[in-house]
Amino acid sequence: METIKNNKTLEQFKCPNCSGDVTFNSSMQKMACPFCDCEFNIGVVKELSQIEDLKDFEFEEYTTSSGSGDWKEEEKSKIKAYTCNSCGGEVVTEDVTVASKCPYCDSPIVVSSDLQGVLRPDIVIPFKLEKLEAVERLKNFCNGKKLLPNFFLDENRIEEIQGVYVPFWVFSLDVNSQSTFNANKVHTWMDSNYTYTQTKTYLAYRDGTAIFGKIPADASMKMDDSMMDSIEPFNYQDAVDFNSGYLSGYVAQKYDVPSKDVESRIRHRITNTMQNLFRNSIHGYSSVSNKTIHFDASNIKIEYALLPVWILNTKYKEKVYTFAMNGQTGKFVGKLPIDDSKVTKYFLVSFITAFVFLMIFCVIGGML
Amino acid sequence: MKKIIAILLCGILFFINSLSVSAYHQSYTNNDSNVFVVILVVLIISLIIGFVYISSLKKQMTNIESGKVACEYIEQGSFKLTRSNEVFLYSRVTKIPRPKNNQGGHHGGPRGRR
Repeated sequence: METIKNNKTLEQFKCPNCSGDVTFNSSMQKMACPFCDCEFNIGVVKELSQIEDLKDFEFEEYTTSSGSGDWKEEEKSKIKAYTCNSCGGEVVTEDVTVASKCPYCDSPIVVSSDLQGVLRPDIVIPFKLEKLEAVERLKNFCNGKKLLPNFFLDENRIEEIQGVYVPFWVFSLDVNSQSTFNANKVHTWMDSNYTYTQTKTYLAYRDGTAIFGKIPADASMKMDDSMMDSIEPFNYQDAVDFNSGYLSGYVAQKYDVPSKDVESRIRHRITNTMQNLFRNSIHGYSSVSNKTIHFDASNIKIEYALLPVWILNTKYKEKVYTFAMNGQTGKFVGKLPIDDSKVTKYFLVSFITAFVFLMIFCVIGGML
Repeated sequence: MKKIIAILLCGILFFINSLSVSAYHQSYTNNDSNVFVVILVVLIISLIIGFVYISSLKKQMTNIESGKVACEYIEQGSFKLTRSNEVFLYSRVTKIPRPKNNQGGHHGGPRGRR
């Protein structure tokens, strides 16, 4: 239902069924749509117009004043930023750590720079799992994959694993959401000539609140968003205030996606979650479909976090394949290369087996 | 794109399969065409099985999926439904003529060749 308020005296309502302009029918004392012949009580129309009036909120941009502030002098002397000559990726690490390979493209890192433009993280979840665990998880991930190229698990390639603190924007907020659904009740009956189907359409309206705590969205343009989503969840009970000591032995990627740019991903996830929760509260209908959803938020807190990820880059036929393991929980994700010759082999095997089996079945069944 | 091609391919195969089955039913008295149609149907079903098997193997090669929801980040017990209402909008009735059975009984389906 959409309400257009041209001025204070004129209100025009739109039909919730076809979006045509509805008018008041004085003989029926109802609002009627001349386009689809639907009729509505005035109270319903007014209530629906209020639902649509809720406007979505805007997130604030994260700045240094929002978080833990600028780098301390002692941190500046301990930390170095490196830039990859090959892909332009930037990483940060303690000066005692030798950052030899770029976690994005596996090329050698040679250029160092100062910390200008690098935000100081608010929180960090320290690594809990070691490199050997990552190697083991990769082997387990490859187990039973029939289309995997034979030489893929070459030991020399598996060891190209780097512990990386990936930058994330972490959102916490209280949500107040309103959602509408079209819900149908279908009743079928028949007489000697016809089958009748009656569809009664209802508008289900839900209003609810929820508190979301620390939804992460990666702040690195070079990291695959889906891959970083896939290694969730992180357990924030282990999160601590940032200290440069945690970078020792690891590298931290520098954020290059502003918090504003990940809003749409966070908004999308919250919207879907609230819609699912509301939808699960609607019962007794043959079908329910989403119509509208809005949400307002308060107590919004954005934190800049470094989260632990083991990154493996390996090449197959000149293409780089990246795998990631959650450095806290051990969840391993990635996309393995596919051996085309094995695709052909398994296709032929399954095709011939099915063909022979079905032919035998046809002969036994008397069809041939 | 690959998914669309796979769906289209399955659709075409299903259509050909339906035609073949229909042809089989119409020609079950003709021995030569019967053999041909059965082999054609078996061939198509085998192709479908092959494609489905390969698709399932390819699916196993990745576990990357973009985050669609944030259920695990809702603080326990914080979700509250503050308002819940359902209003009737309109009703529609459609009627479809029932098929008339003029033949007075079912004569059974096609039988196997002997």
